[in-house]
Amino acid sequence: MSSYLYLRGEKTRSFAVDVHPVVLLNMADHYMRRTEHQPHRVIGTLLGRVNVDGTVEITESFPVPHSETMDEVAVDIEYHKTMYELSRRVSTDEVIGWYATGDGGEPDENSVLIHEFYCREVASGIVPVHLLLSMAPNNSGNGDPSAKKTTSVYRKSSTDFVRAYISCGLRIGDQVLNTEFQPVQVGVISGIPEAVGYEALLDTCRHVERSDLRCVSSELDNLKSSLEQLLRLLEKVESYTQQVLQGTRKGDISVGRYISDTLSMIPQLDSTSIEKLFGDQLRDVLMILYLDKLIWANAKLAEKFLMVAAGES
Amino acid sequence: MNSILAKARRAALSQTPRICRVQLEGLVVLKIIRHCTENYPTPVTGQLLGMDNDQVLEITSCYAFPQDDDDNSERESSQSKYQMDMMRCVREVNIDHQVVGWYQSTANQLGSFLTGPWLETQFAYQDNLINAVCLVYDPQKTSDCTLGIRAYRLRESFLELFGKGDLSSLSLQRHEIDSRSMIEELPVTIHNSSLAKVLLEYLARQPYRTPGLPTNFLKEDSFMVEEQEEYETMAFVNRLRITDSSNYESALQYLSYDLDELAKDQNKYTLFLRNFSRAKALQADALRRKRLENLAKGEEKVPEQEILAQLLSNEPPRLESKLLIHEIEEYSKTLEQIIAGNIIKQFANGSVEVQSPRILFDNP
Repeated sequence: MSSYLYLRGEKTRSFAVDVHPVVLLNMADHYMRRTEHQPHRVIGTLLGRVNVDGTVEITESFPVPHSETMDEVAVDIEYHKTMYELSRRVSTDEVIGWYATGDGGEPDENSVLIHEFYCREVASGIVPVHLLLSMAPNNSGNGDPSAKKTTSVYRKSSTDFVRAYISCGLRIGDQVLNTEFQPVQVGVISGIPEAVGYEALLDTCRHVERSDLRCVSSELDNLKSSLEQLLRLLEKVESYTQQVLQGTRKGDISVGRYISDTLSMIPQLDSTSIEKLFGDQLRDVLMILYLDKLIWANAKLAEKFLMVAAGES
Repeated sequence: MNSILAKARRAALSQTPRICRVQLEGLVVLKIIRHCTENYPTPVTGQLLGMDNDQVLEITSCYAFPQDDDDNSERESSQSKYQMDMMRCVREVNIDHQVVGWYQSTANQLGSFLTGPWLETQFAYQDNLINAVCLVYDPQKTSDCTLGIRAYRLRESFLELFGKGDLSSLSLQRHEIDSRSMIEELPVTIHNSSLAKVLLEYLARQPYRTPGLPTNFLKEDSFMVEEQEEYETMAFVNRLRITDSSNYESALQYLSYDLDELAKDQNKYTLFLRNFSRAKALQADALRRKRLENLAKGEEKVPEQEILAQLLSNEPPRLESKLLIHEIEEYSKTLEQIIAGNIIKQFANGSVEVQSPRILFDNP
């Protein structure tokens, strides 16, 4: 008769990791530049910060050269230290963990060794995070955007693509028996400028003809597409509400609340005052435009006149 | 000896093909944005790495320069040590370690960058590397949800003049350089490796959080997820925001400040012109006399250009006013764009607001 012994890990509270897109791209870039001695795994240091609410935000990363055999791992500690010092001069981010690219498997024994090294490197009070980007060929279906897949397949493979772990020791009393990698939730986070940059990148890689930066950075074109997108979303909401009203679909209370909140944000003004505001604003803007053109013309003329004066003489 | 070396170097430089296009790796875009955003509103700079491949300059990596405020000499040495260390590290992990230029974020909100120091830095780059470019990142434009990255370099004719330090109006005119043609913009294309494309597509299928923007994921069972495979990108919301009037105000303030400076410069210049025309009359006399002398001696005529150049030698510097005019043009162009967008947004807004909210709630 067998009996199980249930051990509790040190950190069992929920733990969330947020990654900036630049980190993931950096990892991919590093993987592309791997040497022939590194068949699948490249590793690097993750930099970031722990937010007030306890979430870990990974903002930067840099590659670290390493070599490994079946039973030995050598990480270039000197390199890691130099790079960290250099990066400290441009930002305040601290070492927060490490990343590796893998062939789709789970963290292995060598990961434990590397993880131990990073446990010593992080500042006290920080639990190092291990970010694993799987490069396995069986996930490559993910990489073909044209291939139509069912949502469930996407879900499954996409959760596999980027994974994060924290390690926790399994212990009885004070004695550590083993460590295990515990998967934690990974989210993608970015500031507004980064989101804009990311969207531009996505746009250029989906439409080859728009790979010219001037296409994605034309303000008026972008405005047009934004308005179209807004219209599309409004139509979607409209069709949804129609369906709910006709009873063909079960309504979601939270969605309804969103819609009513949004509609109540429209200021209630009578049409005359709106027209007045509208007209005033338009006149102001046109006035500025006129002034702006005038200044431009004058500056242009000034330049020409001074040139002519020197040239004639 | 040195001059021979310099000449040989120049000859070698002139044989490398000039680039006409910049190919930017997606990673670099995000890295630059990240660095500049962290330090906003302080303007920052950094180094671009890559290689020039025939007529295309490939920018494949970059790193940030530290912002030190120690005293000058110390800073310079620590800067160069930083760069050397960084280059060594970069080489070790197989990243391209050839410097191909630098990047900079603009300081004020209208995206102007052309200043004296900028010209000097860019000149130093291009003097060594004929194909060096500067990527200018505009944080304000990007926050308004349009990616603002452009590539610039000095025009060849201006580069030559700037190197000689000869920026009198005479030579500027001879080379047909005005405020527009000091620098040129290069077209930029964005390139992503296949792996990066996979990642970008993967991210499009992830719930994506951006503080300050509405979230793009609702609960699993709500209508957003069921119908589509990917999440809506939400950055466009910011694009629809109407610029408030304080933006115009500060833009106009910048403009009027520049106009003041320009007027000051013009006053100085007209003073110089008055003196110049007075001196010219005297000089014409001298010229005539000299010609007669030369004729008597049977020598060649004194070239008139030379005398003109001599007269213009104490001309007040012209570069300043060129930069100012360029800045004014840049400002007014940006302002125009903001206004154009705003008028559209206003009409879109107006069409929503004239309807009474009651109508929206009432179900037909």
